[in-house]
Amino acid sequence: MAISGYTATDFGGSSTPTGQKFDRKLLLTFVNVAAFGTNYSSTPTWELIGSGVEDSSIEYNISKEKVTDILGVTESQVTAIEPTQSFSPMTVKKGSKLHFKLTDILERNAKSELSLFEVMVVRAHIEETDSTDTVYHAEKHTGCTISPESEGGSAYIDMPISIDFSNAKTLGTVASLTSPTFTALSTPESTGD
Amino acid sequence: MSRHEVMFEYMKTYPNISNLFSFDFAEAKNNSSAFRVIDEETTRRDIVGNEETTYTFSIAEYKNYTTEPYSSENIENLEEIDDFIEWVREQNRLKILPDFGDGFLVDEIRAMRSGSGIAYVDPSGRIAQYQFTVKVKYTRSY
Repeated sequence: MAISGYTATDFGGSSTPTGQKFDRKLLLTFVNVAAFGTNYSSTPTWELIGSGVEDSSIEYNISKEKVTDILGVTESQVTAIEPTQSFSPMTVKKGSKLHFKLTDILERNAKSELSLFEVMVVRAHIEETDSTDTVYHAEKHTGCTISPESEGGSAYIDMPISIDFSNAKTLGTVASLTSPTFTALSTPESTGD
Repeated sequence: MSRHEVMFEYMKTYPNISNLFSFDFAEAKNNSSAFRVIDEETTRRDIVGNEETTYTFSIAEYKNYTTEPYSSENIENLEEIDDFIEWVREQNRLKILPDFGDGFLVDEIRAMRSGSGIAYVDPSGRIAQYQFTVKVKYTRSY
């Protein structure tokens, strides 16, 4: 379902009771693992990030400037929003294309490739519906940096990562949370100053 | 198959399992044994909705025992416990793990030294119940 713009005015759907909390699994972070490399494909393959991770948050790192005038009034200005997200322990598992890609980059010391990732955040707790379909808010960032923090651990091989979102983002929706396809809004909303 | 059935069938692959192996209940006679589920507890959830659960079960085996001094019979019974624990350890090392089906991934199986040994003695019938406790850790994906 392609929509022109966001129309939701609250979290959840029409049948969600007021006051109901939303499970953490409704805020999803995906990485496009088909975007570049020897297996490049123009069709995105979105890999869900966070299996085995008990706690992870998008940190907005909001920078502010404050000025207090002669009347004692303090005015704040937000100067930057620089979202990041860390995932730990991120145990390496067979089938994890992101981990395999990061390992390949590290082996070749191709550090510039760490800043070429497409990352999508899906807010499945915000729905858009028409008469037949339900889709969920999503935003796709291009040119994100994914940094492997370490490689090793104790019982299993862990590779914790941190994502620096580029904020070069497109707003849209996804219909499926298991095999998402990103559909941009047909009337793009402003994502900048 | 249910997870209980899968574990029951998995334990039947232990080479030295008693021929009188049954589920939950067994006759208290020499070389009979029973598989019993003790607990199934979700220990943690991750941010994408997967659940890590520990499935605990025991094998209760009935063996004749003796109070005769210097008898090797009781020692042999304890050696059977060691053999079983070693078999489970080897299965884990080789990743020969039970298969709970789609959506489930078994991570490891461990026989617990603590919780394994003599659980009950029936002096009238000279029967002792030996117990082996095993934990299976698995992840369920939603």
